[in-house]
Amino acid sequence: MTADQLIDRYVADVVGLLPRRQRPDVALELRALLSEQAADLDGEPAVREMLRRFGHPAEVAARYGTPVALIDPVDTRRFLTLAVGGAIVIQLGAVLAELIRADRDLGRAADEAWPVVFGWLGLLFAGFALAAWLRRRRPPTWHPRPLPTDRVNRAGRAAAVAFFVAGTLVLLDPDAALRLATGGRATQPALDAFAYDEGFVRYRGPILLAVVLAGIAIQTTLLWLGRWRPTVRTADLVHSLAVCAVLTWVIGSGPIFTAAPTDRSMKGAIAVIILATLIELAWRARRLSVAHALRHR
Amino acid sequence: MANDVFDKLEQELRRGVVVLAVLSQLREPRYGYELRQSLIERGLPIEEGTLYPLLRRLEAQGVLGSEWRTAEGKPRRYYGLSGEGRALYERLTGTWRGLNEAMELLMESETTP
Repeated sequence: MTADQLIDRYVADVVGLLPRRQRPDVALELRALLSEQAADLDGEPAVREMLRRFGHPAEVAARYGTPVALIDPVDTRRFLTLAVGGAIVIQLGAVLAELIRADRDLGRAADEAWPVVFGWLGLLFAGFALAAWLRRRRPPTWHPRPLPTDRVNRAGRAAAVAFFVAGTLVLLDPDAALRLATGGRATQPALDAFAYDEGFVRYRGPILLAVVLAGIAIQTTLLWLGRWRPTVRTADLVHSLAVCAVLTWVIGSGPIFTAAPTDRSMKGAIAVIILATLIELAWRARRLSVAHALRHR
Repeated sequence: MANDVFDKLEQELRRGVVVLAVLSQLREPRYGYELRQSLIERGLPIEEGTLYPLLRRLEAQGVLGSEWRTAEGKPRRYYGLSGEGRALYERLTGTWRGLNEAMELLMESETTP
């Protein structure tokens, strides 16, 4: 390549990255400036070195305008966290879905999860780009929210405990619950639909019940104390992880109900509970980390 | 490591004064190469890849005006301060002098026991 050809190639690479209306003008000026500089140089290698010092065409093109970041630098960490975290949750969801299926194939889980992961990444990208655009148009103002405290909303906790107790009673005796709900008019097929599998009643049921009762005990303790204590927090964290592990084992190691449609629906609901618990755990870990940082003043 | 930090901070410091330096040299119209030589002669070398796009950006912001002229048979784009650019240059010069004085005071108090 001659020196002139090198300069033309360089100018073409720069203006190719500029808006169409800017190209002819910048090309004319840049070529004139580079040619004038090159006139003082000796040979093609020297011109090549001059262009190298001038900068990569993409960098030079970026300097001609105000580069717009589709995802604000301030959002990058949050974007990465949500992207990776979301991908993990989707993969886990696919594994749980496979555990529920009769023709279980865990290898298929990843294949089915990837399109959803890419969809999630696309959605996330579009959401963050839109948020960045809105922020540039109308810079937000900061409104202070209440500081995180160790206090517990007693009314909310009491409602949660009542809900857990009622749910546990329903699961202990679905027949009685169904009769109560229908005023004794439940048909035999409806009652049969909620008949537990014998294997579940023998092994998995009691263990699941123990985990549920432990959860109720922790929530009741919390209600009584009125605030989070480190031991209760640790117990709650360990319990949440245990719930996820036990529920995964429960749906993955045999039927819960003898009727297949009820079994599938229940396992689907349990899978949602597992994923929601994991997401809530991650959210709680983040809040705790912020609160921990505040305590070290 | 220390050199890397120095290079980065020095670059940031220089970046802050590049616009004012360019405006100071464009009270009389100049073309890009000539402007760069003028800055080098006065002890402030600026990379061409930074300088030429900067001229276009300042022109787009209305700070500079430009026109093509043919000298020695070569077409050249000459840049000069616009009316708005002159007012901006005056204001920035005031700011620069204020900063300079403040920095002098700060650094003197640092060295004075």
